[in-house]
Amino acid sequence: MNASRRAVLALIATATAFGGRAFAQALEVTESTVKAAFLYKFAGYIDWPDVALEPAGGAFVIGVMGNDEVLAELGRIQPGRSVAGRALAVRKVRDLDSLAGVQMLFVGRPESARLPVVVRAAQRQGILVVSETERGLEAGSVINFVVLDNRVGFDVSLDSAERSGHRVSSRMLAVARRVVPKAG
Amino acid sequence: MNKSSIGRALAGALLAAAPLAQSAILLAQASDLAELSLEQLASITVTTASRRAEPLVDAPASIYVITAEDIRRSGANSIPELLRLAPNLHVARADNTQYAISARGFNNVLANKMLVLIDGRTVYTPLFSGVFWEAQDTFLEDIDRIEVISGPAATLWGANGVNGVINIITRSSARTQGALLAGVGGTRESGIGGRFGGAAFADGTYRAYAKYTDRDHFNLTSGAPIRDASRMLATGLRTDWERAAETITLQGDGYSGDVDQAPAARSISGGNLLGRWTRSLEAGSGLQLQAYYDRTNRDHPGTFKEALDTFDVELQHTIGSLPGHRLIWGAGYRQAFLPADRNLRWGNVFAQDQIALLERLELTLGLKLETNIYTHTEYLPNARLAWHLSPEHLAWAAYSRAVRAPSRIDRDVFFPGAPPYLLVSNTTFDSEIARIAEIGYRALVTPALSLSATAFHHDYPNLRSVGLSPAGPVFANGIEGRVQGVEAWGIYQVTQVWRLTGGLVAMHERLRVAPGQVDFGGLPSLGNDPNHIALLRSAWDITPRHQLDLALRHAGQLKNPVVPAYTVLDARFGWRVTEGLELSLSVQNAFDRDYSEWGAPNNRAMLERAVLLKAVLKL
Repeated sequence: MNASRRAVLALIATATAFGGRAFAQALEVTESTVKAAFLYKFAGYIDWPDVALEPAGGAFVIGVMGNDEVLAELGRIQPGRSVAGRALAVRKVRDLDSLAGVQMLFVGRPESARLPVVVRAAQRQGILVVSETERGLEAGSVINFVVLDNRVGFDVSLDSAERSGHRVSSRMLAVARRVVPKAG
Repeated sequence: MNKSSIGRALAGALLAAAPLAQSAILLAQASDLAELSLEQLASITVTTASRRAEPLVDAPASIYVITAEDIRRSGANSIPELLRLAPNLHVARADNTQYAISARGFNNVLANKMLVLIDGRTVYTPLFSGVFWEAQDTFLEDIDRIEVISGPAATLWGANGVNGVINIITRSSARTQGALLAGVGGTRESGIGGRFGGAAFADGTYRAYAKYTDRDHFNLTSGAPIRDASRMLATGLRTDWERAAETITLQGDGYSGDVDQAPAARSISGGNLLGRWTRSLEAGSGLQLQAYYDRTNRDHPGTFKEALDTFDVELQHTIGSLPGHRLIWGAGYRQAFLPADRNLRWGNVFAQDQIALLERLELTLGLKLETNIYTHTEYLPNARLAWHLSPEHLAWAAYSRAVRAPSRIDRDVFFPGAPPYLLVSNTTFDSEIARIAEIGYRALVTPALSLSATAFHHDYPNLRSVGLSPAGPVFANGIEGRVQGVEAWGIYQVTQVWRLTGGLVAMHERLRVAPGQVDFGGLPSLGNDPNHIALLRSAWDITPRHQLDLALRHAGQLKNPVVPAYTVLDARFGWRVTEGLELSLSVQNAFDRDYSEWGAPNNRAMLERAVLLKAVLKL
C-alpha cells in the first residue's frame, strides 16, 4: 500500500472516529461501495468448508447476481488481493447453472424473489449466500445487509451458516446488528 | 495510485476542514475501503440516492420514472406539481386546485384519456373518466416513484389508459420507519405534515401520516381575486408484512377539505381501504391479489352532489416457468355506485405473453376483454416487439387498440338541471377508440447518459361530438382525427455532482367533424394542446450539504381559447443543516413573468412568482 492510499485511509479512519459527519462532507461514499468492501472483508472472517474450496489452488470467487454496482466496486477491490491464500476473483452470475467454482454469492435486491431457490442450490455446494433484502435471513441467506440511518450494517444467521457448512468468527458477530442463533 | 489521487486525498482533507468549500468532491472507491475494519465500515455514512443516471428501463414503452430523489429536489407540495417533472406530460394549472394533465394531447381539466393509479388504486372518476386532482394527496416524502407512461397501456392496466398511465407508488412501510416532519410556508400555501413508522405485530411494519395544506386564492390576469382558496387534510395508514416469498399490504387513506367557489365552497372528502397479497413462486412466477374499497364525497352547493362507492378486486398471475415465454394473465371486477341510483360494473380478463423469438428479439402479445354496462364488451389488443441491440440499447415498436369506455357524463347527463336542455341523455354514445402505432429507442449511451425517443401515431375514428336528437343536443361519436408526434428525453450525469435532464414533446393534432356528421361545440371541448412542450432541469450539489436545482419549462401556445406560449424558470436551493434537518427555498416562476397556463383570456388565473420555504426534520 502506497502513501496516497494511506492518506485516504487515514482520512476515512479519522472521519469515522468522529461519527462520520465530517467525513460525509469530504467524501462521497455509495451504499454499493461499502457493501463491496464488506463482502471482501467477510471472506476473512469465515471458515470455509472443504467442499467449497475444491479444487485446491483455484481462485476465491465472489459471485454477484443482480447488482452491477456492487459487481463494479468489487472489480476495483480485486486486483492483487487474496482470500484464504487464494487470489480473489469476481464474477457476474446470471443463473444457477453458473454457480460452480463460486465460494460466496451476493444476491442483489432485484433477484430477491428468487432467493429461496438460490439458497437451496447454494447450500448443496457449500456457497455462502449474502443478500440485501428485508427478510433475507428468513429466506435462507447467511448474511443480510441492512441500511439504517444511512449506514450499512448486516445481520447474520448462524442457523443458515450451519446448513451450508460455514463458521462465522465471533469478531464478525460482534459487529453484526442481529444474530439469529442456531435452530434447536 | 498516482499523483492526482494524492491531490484528491488532500483536497478531501481540506474539504473536511472547510465544509463549505465549493470544490470537487472525492469519490471513495471500494479499493480504498477494503482496508478498513468491519467496525469502521459499519460506521460510514453513505449516500442512499443513486447518483448515476437512471438505468435503462427494459420495457418496450415510453416510460419516464420520477424518482424519490427528483421528488425531494422538486420543492413541490402536491401531486400535480410533482407531475411537472415528467417530460412526457403536459401539466397546466388552471387555478389553485385544478389542473389539466394529459399525455399526447386531449388536455383539459376534465382530461379523460389518462389512467391514474395510486398504489394500485384507480383514481379517475367514472363520472367523466378524468381525475379530480384536488382530492389526490399523500405525504410526498413517502412516495417511492411515479411511473409515467405516455401512450396506451390498456392491456395490463385498463380501459382508460388510452393516451397514458400515471402510476404513483409509495414506499413499503419497512422503508419509512421513524418520524419525519415536513412544514411548508410561502406566498401561495402553507402546511404541515408528518409521518411515523414503527414495527407492527407479527414481524410487520406500519406507518401513519397526516398532512394539512392551506392554499391561498389566485388572482385573475386583471388582478381581481378568484374564489379558489382551499384547505385540505389528508391522512393515511399502511402496514406491510414482507416475508421471503410473500408480501401482504394493508393500507388506507382518508381526506377532507373544501375549496372556495361561488356561491359557497365545495366540500370534498373520502377514504379508501386496500389490501394486496403477493407471492413469488419458483422460476420467476408470481401471484397477486388485490382488493379495495373507495368512497368519494363531493358537494358543489346548488349544482352537483356526488357520493361514489367503488369496490375493486383484481388477480394477476405471472408464469415464468415456460421456456421462452413469460405469461401474465389476470381478471378484475369493479363496481361503482353513483348518485341517482346508477350502478356501474366493469369486468375484465386479460393475458399477455412475452415470447423470446431470437436471442435478442422479444415479442409481447396481449389481449384484454373488458365489459361495461354501456357498450358491453370491448377488446384491447396490443403487440410489442423489443429488439435488444445490446444490453444498453433497445429498439421497439408497438401497435395497440385502446378504448375509452363511456363515462356517466357521456350517457346519462341532462344539462342544465331543467328544460330547455343544452344536452340530453342518450343510449347511443359509443366507446372512443384509438389505434396507436409507436416506435421507440432507449439507450444507456454511457453509464452517465441515458436517452429515450418515441415516435407515435394515434388514430381516433370516433371521438366525442355534440350531435342532434329529436329531444335536443346529445353526445355522439362524430369527430375523427389523428395525433402524430415525437417525444424524447435524456438524463446526463455531467459530473458526480451535476445532473441535467432534458425533454421535448412535439406533436401535431388534426381533428375534424367526420363526413356526414354535425358538431355543436364538441370539438373545442376535446382538448386544448400546445404543439410542443420542453423541459430542462439542472440538479447541482454545490457541496454535499448544499444543492441548487433549476428548471426551465416551456409550453407552446394553446389555440382555443388562446393561451400564449411561455417559458418560466423555477429554482430551488436546498441546505442539509444537519443529518436530520433539511431546509429548502423554492421559487416558481423566478423572474415573475406574467403568464397563465390555462383558461380563457378574461377568466384565467395568473401564475405569479411563488416562494415556498420547506423544512423536513427527521427524528
